Amino acid sequence: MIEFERKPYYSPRELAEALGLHRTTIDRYIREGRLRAVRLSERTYRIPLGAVLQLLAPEEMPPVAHPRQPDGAADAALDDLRAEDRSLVEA
Amino acid sequence: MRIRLSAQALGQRIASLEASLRSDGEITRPIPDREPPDETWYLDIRVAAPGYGLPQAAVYRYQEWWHPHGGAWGLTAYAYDYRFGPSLSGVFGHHWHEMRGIDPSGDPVYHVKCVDPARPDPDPHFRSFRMDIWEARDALTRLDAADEVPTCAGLFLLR
Repeated sequence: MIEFERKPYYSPRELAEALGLHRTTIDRYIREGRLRAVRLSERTYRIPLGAVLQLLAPEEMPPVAHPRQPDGAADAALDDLRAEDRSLVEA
Repeated sequence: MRIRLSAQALGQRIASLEASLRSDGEITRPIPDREPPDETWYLDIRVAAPGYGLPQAAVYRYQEWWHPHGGAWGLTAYAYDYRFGPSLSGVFGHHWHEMRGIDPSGDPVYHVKCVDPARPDPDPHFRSFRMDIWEARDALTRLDAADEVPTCAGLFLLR
């Protein structure tokens, strides 16, 4: 794994410098969908840390665990959302 | 318009979501379990941001409720949230669920839930429109990636 400073988001220029790549390479990765980027405006992008790690070593990403959901979790969660509405009903 | 998917398509959707959301942070509690047939298929994915060894600054939570209907699964409610700020007290979320205070018929209502931690309002529900989960993800990650703290400015109350 390449060593680089970890921060929540990188600009394409920062990432290019950190990884020793050309800025156009980063832009191409974004265009091709190989690198997830968040578009803030027409010309401004930010790349999340997780996307960089996925690009560099996807096999080293922590595996996704699938704990069993508790019985009734779906109803309980929906009830929580509806509860927020209760004050509106009472108004 | 309600989204309907086969069981296989819904399973693929969840797998695809998990693979994609890992680039936004660390998935801390993925629960795509399916309850017995003819019950709810409840999706609840939480993503801690930025994750991967950095202090947690925000959490995304994607919840969907699917119910069987006519041989397929139909989306009946969703809540896509971005939580931020002190003790994650700030919320910006795109929701679609029953709100009898707004629509007594019980039909789900599209809305934004916005809680500005600096100015919490007793009624945090605002007008909105249908959001696909991928659109919501784009919108929520933009809030996180921007340098500004999200506010509720410019939103219109539901009532």
